[in-house]
Amino acid sequence: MKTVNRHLGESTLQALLDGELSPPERAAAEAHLGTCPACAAELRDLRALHERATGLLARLDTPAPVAQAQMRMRARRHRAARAIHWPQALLKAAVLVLGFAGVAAAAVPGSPVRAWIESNVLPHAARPATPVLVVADSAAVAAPPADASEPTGVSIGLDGEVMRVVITDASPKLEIVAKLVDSDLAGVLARGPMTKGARFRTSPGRIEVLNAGAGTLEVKLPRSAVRAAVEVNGRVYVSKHGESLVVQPAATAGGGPSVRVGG
Amino acid sequence: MQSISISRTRPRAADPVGPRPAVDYDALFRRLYPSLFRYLQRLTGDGDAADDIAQESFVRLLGRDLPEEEARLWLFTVATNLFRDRARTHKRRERLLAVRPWTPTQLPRPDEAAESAENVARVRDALSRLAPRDQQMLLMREEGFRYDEIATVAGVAPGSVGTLLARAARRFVAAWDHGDEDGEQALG
Repeated sequence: MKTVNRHLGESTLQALLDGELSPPERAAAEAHLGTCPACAAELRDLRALHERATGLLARLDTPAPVAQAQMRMRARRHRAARAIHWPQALLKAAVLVLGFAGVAAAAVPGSPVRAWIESNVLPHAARPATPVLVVADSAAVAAPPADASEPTGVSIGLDGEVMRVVITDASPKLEIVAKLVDSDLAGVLARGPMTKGARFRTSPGRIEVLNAGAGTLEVKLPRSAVRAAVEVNGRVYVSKHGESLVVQPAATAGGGPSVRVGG
Repeated sequence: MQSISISRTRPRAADPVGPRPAVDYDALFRRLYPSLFRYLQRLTGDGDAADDIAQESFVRLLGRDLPEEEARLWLFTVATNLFRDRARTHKRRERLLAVRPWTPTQLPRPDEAAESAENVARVRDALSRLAPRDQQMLLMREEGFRYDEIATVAGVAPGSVGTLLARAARRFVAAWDHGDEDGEQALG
């Protein structure tokens, strides 16, 4: 492919880092990175840059006052529930007054309102209820929900001996399929409509998956990694022993996402 | 118009039991507030202002019945707009104070003498050298937003988000490094 030989732009490298490339784009970028040390170095620099930025920004943080804020929020909600919504109240009053005036005007024989209704509304009203609205409505209902979710994921090169995939806040309906691959790239790929909210973060030797919903998460771990593991909600579900992946007891305890080891 | 019709009819078709259950605002608040507070605290450099803006954003969310994923982006969008409004008011006030200065605000706070406070001030200084839009984009990335979501709030084309993020991170780290050199030079 011609594109494999072209250097990757900053925007592509950044999107690769953030898990924003489509599967074909990612595959093409990874193919290029495998053969281009310059682009691989650019990617490492960009990752290091963001890690520094993340570390610096974390210095600004103070603990969020969640409990106090929630108490104040509840008080504001109660006040808001008791308050009269004047714009809505005025609108309702205006609609009532206009409606009453309209009915009264229509009831007077010879009134312009009555004449307008007779010439414009009644002939149509005499027809049987047209299915136009019903058809439009039922078509909307019958249409299958648009499944706009494409598989989404991220992959990184093995940078050392260890590779960890850390999955947090995963839905209990998530199915994780882990397998060893001969490539030096580790990766995750989320499939299914509810996984579209999944977020990814990468750092050397580590891929984080946040908020994966119901669906399937494919996890590829390089066979060449000396140590590799998949951690789910703080517990090790799968770890690499020799040439194979082993499902750990924590994965079968129930209550969390299911896991299986692929071929 | 069409999307409103579909969104109203689909839950009835899919769920014959009835409409979607009411939003649990307490649970939503517990899940979304920490991230929104962190974003705003980094943006404003002021915990009280961050809390105020976060609260105001949540109050405006009440009754909107949005699913959590949409509610999160909606909150960040509203909070960013509120922050921009405050920043404009603050600038106006600063211009007035320049004409008629109020001395106490110019006195250094006692905690600024502490090393950690100095460290925070330097990071803040580095961040403030970025354009407001770049700050917002960088901080939204830190909160795990997708490019299309960042583009919506920042008002840029989704295709340009990657380049703008890389550039913002580079400027921020360079501003920090430059400040470091300044500090070392001053000490030397």
